[in-house]
Amino acid sequence: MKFEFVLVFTLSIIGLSMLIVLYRIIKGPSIADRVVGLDLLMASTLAFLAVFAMLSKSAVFLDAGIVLSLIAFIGTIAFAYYLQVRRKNE
Amino acid sequence: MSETILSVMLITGAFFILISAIGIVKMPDIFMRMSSSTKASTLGIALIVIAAGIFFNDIGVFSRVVLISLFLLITAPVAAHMLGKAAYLEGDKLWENTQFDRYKEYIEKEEKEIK
Repeated sequence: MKFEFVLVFTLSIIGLSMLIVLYRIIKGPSIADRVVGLDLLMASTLAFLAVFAMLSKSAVFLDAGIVLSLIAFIGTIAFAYYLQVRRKNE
Repeated sequence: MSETILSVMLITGAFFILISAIGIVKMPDIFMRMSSSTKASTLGIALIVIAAGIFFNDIGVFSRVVLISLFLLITAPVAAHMLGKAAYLEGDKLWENTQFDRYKEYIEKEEKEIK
């Protein structure tokens, strides 16, 4: 009972920080700012999934977390590469 | 007893994620934002995910947890390095009180050598 309260509290803190990051993604002056924000948003989603797996007592969500961390890494690398190539072509 | 340790790990991890989210909004230029985001999110997530591994008390889950945290520890610096280089070459402004800009000196030296 008490431990579930801690889990819900952690979930709400992570959700609050996701909202704060969303502000930077919407406002961010350059593309690179938005990519940093998206990277942190993906990381927060991973933590959210881990806590949610504990709350629902099913470890399947951790598999989704592995896939999510892979996609976040490849997405960030792809955006950085795109920024460099775009600059060369101009 | 074990639930107390888990609670401390979870709340510390969530605190780190909140700190990095505040840092990404309040920091003045992109490189400082990147520093706050990559460091804090890696530590926070490692704490929370390892707490999940201890909670399930199962070798299969724990191996997945170790995989996630190792993967994050390896990939976060690589991604930050590539993104920082791309952002610098893109022409993102540094903070006005920045003292050193070693990469600019390096680029100027390279250009001189080419000439």
